[in-house]
Amino acid sequence: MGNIDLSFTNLDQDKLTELKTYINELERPEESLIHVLHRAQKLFGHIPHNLQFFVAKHLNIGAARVNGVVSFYSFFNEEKPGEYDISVCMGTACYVRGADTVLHTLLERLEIDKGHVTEDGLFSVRDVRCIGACGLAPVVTVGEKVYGHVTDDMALDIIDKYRGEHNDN
Amino acid sequence: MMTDTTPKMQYRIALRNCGFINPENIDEYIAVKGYQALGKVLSEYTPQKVVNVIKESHLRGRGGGGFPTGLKWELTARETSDEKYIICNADEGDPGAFMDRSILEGDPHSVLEAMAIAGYAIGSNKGYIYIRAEYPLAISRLQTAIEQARSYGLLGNDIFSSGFDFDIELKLGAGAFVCGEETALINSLQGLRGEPNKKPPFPSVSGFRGKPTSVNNVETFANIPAIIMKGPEWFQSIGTKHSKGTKVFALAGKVNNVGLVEVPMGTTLREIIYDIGGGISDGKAFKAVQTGGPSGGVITEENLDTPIDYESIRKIGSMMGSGGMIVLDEDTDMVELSKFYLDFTQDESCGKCTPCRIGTKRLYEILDRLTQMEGTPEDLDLLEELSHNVKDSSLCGLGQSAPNPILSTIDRFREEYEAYAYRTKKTTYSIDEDKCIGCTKCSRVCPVDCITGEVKQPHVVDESECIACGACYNACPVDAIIKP
Amino acid sequence: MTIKNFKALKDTQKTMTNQVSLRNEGQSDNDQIEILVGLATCGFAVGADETLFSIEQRIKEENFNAKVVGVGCIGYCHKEPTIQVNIPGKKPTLYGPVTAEMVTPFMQAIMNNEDTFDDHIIETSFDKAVL
Repeated sequence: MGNIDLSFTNLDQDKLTELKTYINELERPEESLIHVLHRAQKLFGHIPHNLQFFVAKHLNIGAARVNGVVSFYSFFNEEKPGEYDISVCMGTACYVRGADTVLHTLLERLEIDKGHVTEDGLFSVRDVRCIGACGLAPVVTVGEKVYGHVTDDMALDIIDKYRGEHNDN
Repeated sequence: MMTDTTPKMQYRIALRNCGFINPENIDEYIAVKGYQALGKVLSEYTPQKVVNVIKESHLRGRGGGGFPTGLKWELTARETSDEKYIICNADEGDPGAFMDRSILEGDPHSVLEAMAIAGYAIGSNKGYIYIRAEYPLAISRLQTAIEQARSYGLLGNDIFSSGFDFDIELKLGAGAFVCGEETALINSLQGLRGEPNKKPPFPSVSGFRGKPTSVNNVETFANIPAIIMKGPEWFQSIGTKHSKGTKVFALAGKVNNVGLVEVPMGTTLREIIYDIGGGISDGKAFKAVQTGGPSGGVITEENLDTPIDYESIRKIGSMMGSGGMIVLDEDTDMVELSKFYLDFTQDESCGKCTPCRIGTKRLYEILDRLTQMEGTPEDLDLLEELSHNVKDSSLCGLGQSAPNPILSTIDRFREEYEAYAYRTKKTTYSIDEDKCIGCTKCSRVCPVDCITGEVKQPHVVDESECIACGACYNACPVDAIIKP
Repeated sequence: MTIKNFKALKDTQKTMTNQVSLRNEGQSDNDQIEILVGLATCGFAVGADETLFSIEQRIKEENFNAKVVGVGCIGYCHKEPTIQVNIPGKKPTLYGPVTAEMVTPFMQAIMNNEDTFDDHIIETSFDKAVL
């Protein structure tokens, strides 16, 4: 792990201003940390250390508490996800219908580990808790798009589809 | 009214409006007598009478615990405080369950109405819905419903000119299974890590912001308006001696009709899986059904005819849980299934207490060792002993129930654990000579070239080379490949 | 609109019943057909929103005497997208799956009372509490 850069200069200043306004308008800032982090992740896509520090400063709480909360909840990302963030549902219904082999197929094809991003920044793959679409098990989501009854072959097609889309743009 | 003389398997109370009304239009909810239960209690009942009606109905918490709802309200009502809170637990964390999501997406007003009724009963003016951030559609429909209810004066100040004020706010979770535990949920609501506290004090005495708080689950709330409108006697007439009313189950896994079902307490699992669920998918044989998620266990063939309620399901080695019901077929490896659940719980353990933090991790490691064929027979004893230790000494329900999937499967499927422990388990593919037609498809797809044979002659797998990838199994047109 | 008291709520309910009576009882004071589309997460995941959109399009283009309403999940996840067709004077019928591609022939069958989609009928196996 390298040095942690805690300056705010490499963060989008407009988004920071928006986040600051959101914090200033909170009725009970002391119990709103999770909502602030949801907003931060929505704005920035992930919550790197300097952004956590920014939140701590403006909520007037310790950075350790912010990091404690960010790392506790699986919804928050400290690392930037890929342009196409692929989630494989690991709920029980998906698991018994083969979600684990789908996950391995994706990781193998993209040559990354779970929770990481491909070198070109295009894809990231993670396992997520039940998204509640058990009727479609196994389920894979890419952004807002949900794919149901996914087989290993379909998983590979999904990668090719998004790679194609990216190249077309 | 359509009448059908044949008795139906399902009876829907909590799901009564799901699929029938537009959840984004309050007028349709009002059309099916929505908010009339609230009108009734505010104009005709004292708060004590509301508590009494819910007590008489014998409604029990549908989130899994089965604690009597009326008693919970009474304990919170009894406290004197300037502020009290109603919290709706919509942090549906059981992987494989989606009952609460469906209610929130299909009938959000029933939950809002019930929360206001609860608020009146216990003397609270403020409710919070703690909902998973992973449910964006439910969040947006709840938000819409809250705004519509406010604009009609059904939330806010002086509801129905009764002098009673009640409002509701949404609070988002961020993905932590332990937040289903009420004290952990309250900590998360306050912007902290979702770690549980020691009880007592119970939330009914000291909960959200240190004030008396009643935490109830979505499905529990969805039952309330029906109980008020139709009376506790009606509700009591449905179900078994100790468990009244219905239960919603999310039926999933290896079953034909995956979906949501709501059945009276006392329905058997056979009725749910075969009559409603249409039996096992792909013509496979039934092996077991898993209920209660990571806190529950498996139920096998011999208990399929047990009428299901909170008590009976414990007796047959599982628990009701929130309503996840995963059907397992002959292909399911029970040791792998335990490993799946322990991987989940060791990951979700909040880390506050040692037995759960370290214990679940060690349990997972033992299971992992076994499935990698690196275990020993002693591991089985260790697994059981440690399971009991974690169960007995963990701080909250997560740790206390985390070993249940192991204990339940090792009791019923010990031979599967032994096959791993004594390393007798077959892990490679082979070919049924009688079925093989010698089409050569398997040998062509095998990535390690360990399948040989002449065209139109039975092929053979060199099992010392097989890496169990399953490619041959998928390629075979005549089902001649035998799985490990 | 603020509903001021319990009586006002009951009065409002009476004026609203016609919005839902067709769904449960097949009763209506006109002959408009009502089509309910299940729009919950599991429906969206298999394109129920596209089905709903296509139905709206067909109604507009063909000037069908029908309306479409998005509702929650009726619980038949394995047959999504599910659609309930309510024809005045008839028992409401549940169909599934009906994908966007199937909408044109489906609407044709419904509006002309043809039986081409009878193999998509889902037998509903429940009673429900009526308040």
